[in-house]
Amino acid sequence: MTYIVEIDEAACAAHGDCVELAPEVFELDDVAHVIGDGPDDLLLAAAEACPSSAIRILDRETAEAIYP
Amino acid sequence: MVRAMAQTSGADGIVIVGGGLAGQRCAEALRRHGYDGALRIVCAEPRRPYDRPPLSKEMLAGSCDEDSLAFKTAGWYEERSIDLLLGVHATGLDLAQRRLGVSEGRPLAYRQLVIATGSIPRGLPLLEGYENVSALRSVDDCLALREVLAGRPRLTVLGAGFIGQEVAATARSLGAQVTMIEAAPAPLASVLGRELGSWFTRLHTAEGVEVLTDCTVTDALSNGHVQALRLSNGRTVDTDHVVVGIGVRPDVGWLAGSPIASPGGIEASPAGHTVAPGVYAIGDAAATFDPVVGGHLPGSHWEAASRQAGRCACVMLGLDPGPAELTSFWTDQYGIRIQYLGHAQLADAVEIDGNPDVRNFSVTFTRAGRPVAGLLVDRARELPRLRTAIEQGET
Repeated sequence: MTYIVEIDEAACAAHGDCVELAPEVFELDDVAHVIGDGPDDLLLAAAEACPSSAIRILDRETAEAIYP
Repeated sequence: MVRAMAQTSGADGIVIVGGGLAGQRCAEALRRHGYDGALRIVCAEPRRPYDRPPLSKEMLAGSCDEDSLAFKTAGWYEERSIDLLLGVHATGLDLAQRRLGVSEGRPLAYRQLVIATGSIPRGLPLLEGYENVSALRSVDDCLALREVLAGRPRLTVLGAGFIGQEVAATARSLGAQVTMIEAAPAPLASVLGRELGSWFTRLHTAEGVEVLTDCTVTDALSNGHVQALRLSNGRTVDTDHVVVGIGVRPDVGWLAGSPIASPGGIEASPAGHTVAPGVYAIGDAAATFDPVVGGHLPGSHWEAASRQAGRCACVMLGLDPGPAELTSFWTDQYGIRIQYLGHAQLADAVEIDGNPDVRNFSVTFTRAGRPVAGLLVDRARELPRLRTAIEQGET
């Protein structure tokens, strides 16, 4: 759990792929919201699955951008 | 918000006609923004609103089931007091009396109406009435085609738009012998131009699809079933099944005679306003004004419908809908994600970064040196940067 996940609300189109992959991490309204935490590889998979590339992954310690 | 409620509540409340993505998203947003009046969704299909993109991909391939397509559970609608009228279609509209005619029961009175009836696949008159010719729009269409594909048929796909390409890709992965026929010189040539469009020809060809461009169907040879198609280039293609994916037309025939009706779709603002007070049109049923192009464009894609629905809900409640987003769409084929953003038709130059031959590249369309659109192939990471660049007009 070294990653932090953020949603770019302007980019999110509420596709819902992230919620499907990680329902304990994401919740869907008109945009997705982060509601929990999950393993790093799950967060990364959700970010890569997003058709709008609206999920940002940062390193918890260094705030370095992991994705995109 | 209090003022917004006073304008919109009332015994008859809001009626949304159309149970697709746009109607569903509009209902979600209305409730989320605090609308607590009556809310009814008229759905022509006998199913709760569901997501269509998987119909040409996961659902067709058999890797997801029907239940997983539904946007929400039945309980979700109950909890929010949203009435779903399933298997009911609109039959007419009385603007003066604010009543929607429906196929079952009395006309529905409304304070505000959202028209989100979507679109209908265009047919080819030459191929109408044959059992082994189909379109792909609904779950039923998908299940029927899935059964056909299980027999590894010789499949002919007419039209190399997104549906056609996705069906071709999925059918190939299931072992069908696929021929895709396109009237234009290349797939998506009208959006991306001929040169980039021909990249899609190469993509499908490399995956074993026979792609025939610059030709149309002139005749069908049949014995009750279509057995072969004769093409304008002189070729004859033997076939077991034909999928027609030559585009859609707005499902607005039920509005015939109404002043808001137009064959190209109901003219609407980016937030769905029509010329009729209290009546909104969103998604594929609408021809939405595009401020960049300066005209009304036909409904097109999933993201546009979803976002327009959210903006529409805001303006119905007197809230600020925010700015309209850039046109965008995506498609998944052969395990590659392809994303597009902006207005390529405005461009006067094209820059390519990467190697199209290894299916990993990005294209920036520019006008007078400023980015107006982009195409990303297996480069999802670049989308945020591209979006910013186009929005700010900088490279």
